[in-house]
Amino acid sequence: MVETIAQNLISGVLVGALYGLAALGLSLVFGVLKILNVAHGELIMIGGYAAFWIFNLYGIDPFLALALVMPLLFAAGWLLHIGLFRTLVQFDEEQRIKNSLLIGFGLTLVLQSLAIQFWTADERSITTAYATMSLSFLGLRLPVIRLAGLVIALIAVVGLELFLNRTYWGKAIRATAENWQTAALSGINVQNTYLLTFSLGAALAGVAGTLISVGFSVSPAIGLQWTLKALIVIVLAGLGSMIGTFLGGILLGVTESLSAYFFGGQYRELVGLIIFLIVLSARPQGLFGGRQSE
Amino acid sequence: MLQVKNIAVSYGDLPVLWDVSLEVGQQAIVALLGPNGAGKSTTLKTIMGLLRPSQGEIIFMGQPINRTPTQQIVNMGLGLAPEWGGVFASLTVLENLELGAFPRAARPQKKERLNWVYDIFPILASRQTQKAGTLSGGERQMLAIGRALMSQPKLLMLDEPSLGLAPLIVENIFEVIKRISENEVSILIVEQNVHLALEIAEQAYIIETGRIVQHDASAKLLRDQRIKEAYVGI
Amino acid sequence: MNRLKWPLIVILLAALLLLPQLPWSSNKTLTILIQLFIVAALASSWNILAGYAGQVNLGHAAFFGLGSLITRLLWLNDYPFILSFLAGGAVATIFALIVGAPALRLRGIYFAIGTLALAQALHLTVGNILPGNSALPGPKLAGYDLVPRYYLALGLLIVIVVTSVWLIHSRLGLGMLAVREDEAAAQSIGVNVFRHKLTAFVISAFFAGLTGSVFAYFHVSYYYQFTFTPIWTFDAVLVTFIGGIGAITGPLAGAIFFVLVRDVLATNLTNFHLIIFGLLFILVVLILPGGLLELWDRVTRLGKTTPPQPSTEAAAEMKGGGEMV
Repeated sequence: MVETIAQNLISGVLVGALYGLAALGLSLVFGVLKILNVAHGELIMIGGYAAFWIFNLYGIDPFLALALVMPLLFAAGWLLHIGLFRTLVQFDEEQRIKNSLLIGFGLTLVLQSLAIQFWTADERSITTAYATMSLSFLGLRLPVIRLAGLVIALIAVVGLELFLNRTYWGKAIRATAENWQTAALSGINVQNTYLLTFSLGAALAGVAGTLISVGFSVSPAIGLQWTLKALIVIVLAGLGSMIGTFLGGILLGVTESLSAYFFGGQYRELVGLIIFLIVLSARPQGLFGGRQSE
Repeated sequence: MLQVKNIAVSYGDLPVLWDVSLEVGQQAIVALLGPNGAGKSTTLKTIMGLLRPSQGEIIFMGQPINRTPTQQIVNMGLGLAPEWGGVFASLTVLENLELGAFPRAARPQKKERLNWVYDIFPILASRQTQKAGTLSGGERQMLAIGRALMSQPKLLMLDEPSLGLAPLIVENIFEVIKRISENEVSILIVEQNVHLALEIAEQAYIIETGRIVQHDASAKLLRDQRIKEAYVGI
Repeated sequence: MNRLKWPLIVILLAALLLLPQLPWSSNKTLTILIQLFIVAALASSWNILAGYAGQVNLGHAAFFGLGSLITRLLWLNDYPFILSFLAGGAVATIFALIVGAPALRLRGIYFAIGTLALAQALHLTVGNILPGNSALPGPKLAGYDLVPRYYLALGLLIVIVVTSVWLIHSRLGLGMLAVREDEAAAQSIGVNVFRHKLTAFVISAFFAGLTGSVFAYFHVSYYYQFTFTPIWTFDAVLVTFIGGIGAITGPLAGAIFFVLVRDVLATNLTNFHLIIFGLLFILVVLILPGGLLELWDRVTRLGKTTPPQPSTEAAAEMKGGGEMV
């Protein structure tokens, strides 16, 4: 009995790492640009497909393919921002968030339909040679793929934190998130900072997508699912800390796993949504309340 | 050096400035005075490109800057220590200052500049590694000014530097402002404390409800009865 | 144009009412029109909360689903249809009352994602409890006639439109508009913001529930959870925005366009219509906030719409860094 709970905890952590990773990009963009890109899940989906096709057409291992998927998605984010989201910045905060929701929604539709068009609605998954391997630790089974996913996610979080805290551009991003006007007064090119942030968010989505593609499966429909997951994590963890967001993801994963264990598998998804709703109603002022003095 | 010609600014549909004109010459100290809500901060923000004038021109060093993006205006040599604080609370004092020199990655200049700022504001040096959010009001004001100085402005604008600060600290800051101006930096200062402003500035503009109503040498204004009654509280 | 408005409406209504009696009305025509009415009704009901009171509800499918579920269950268990029909609307309304209070405390976007999550949760729950198909049993199938369904759908749509018109001209509607424009300002002139939002929410839910009931009456066979899928919300949102949010005819115009592209111009590319709508939607949000109606106005130069004024501050924020890489 205890063993199974522990096993559930482990799988919760392993999948939670992906939830956290998925939320990182969304949180970053939301915190800096103050726009909620609900098409973030579609970017994850595209990342997953990119990894899938790179694997199937060129035989490149997905973990290596990350080096290709990241720049690819970075570029995609770049284009999306220039083409679409950049125009949102002209609105004031409330209009901006509302319009970003709507635009993200339209984008979701377009991207999802295009995906169905090109790749059919079938579920795809990357099966590597070592797909079924797992490590044994204290009687617990740790699938290698998922474990590698956890490691990659950790690297991403730490890398992101280092970038944000130790580099000029990272600090510029944090500064712009805090107050874009003061940032402009410091000579920071706010528009370019936005562009960089958005592209970075897309790249992070690409990483998440790749890991999902190899650890689980990808289909055109997963976009909305993962956007919701990311949203739940953000609402749980709040904005501002990348590590906090990551931990929030783990928390969600573990909670889901344990609920599935105690209440049955079909309620796994439901639990996350219920937690989300409870936390949301507990902080009706939203995610920015209290973090910055407005 | 700076010429503001007949600018009009609106917040959405709400006009805030009508026909505002002012000039700041080389190595001058000019004050912009007026009651609350008159449009002083709006004027400074517009000059810095944070707001766009719907009419009029702003010329700095011979270049029109109405449509120039803010960070470029900073590059050209305009700086602002804004009324809303102008520091990044989540970053350290040193990081704040370093960010002030953002566009000027030239290392030797940055170090020099930093040392100079520490020289005029020694307290910032002792608080280098502290997060700006933990500083006192006066220290934050110094940090804001210091940060603005890091980009080597030829014209420094200050929005209400004395706001909410103890008299001793204000004195200190104004001494520093004098010192800065002696280093060939022009100053445009917005102040509620009319007396202090007129002491340090050579000339002043008075703005009321979005319009410039008076422009004179400080000495004359200090003797002006109306000014005395309205602002200096005699 | 205004002089022609009333006669045109009368003629249109007459045509729609008489259509099933005419010899050339095929089953196909009736089916498409019923689907049109359902989409238009769903969109119009969504518009009441979004267009009038300014709250973007992304969980609209929940009401649609509840209405259809209750009606279907009651009706298939041989309760009289009228009862089942009204019960569908009633349950949706009650649900709205229960979740409305906590939900409407949420600001703007959080309300949107909150309702989205709520609808998803309901969708999953129904899928868990009633995973199966709902098919019309023999006797009901034998007695199936499109004509009463046509009139029911049309009737509901007319009721919704008339209610919308009444609402717009009522004091209640005025309060809602005030809330939409500026909540703080509305509060300060004595408008009970919460009550107006809740009322719009409940009316919207009621009509969405009844629309679901019509769906349950109309469709021969479908999965119980189908009416809870977010697709229905998205269709309503798309249709309303593309047609012109806030206006009464907006959702109607949008629905016509929607059904036209989706069903009439049915192409091999099954999701082609979604791509088009997605793109159009984005265009509407960015450039043409009044949707097709605004387009029409501009083209015929009859209306005047002021595009949203970006605040000068935000405009400057956007300008920062114009000459980029």
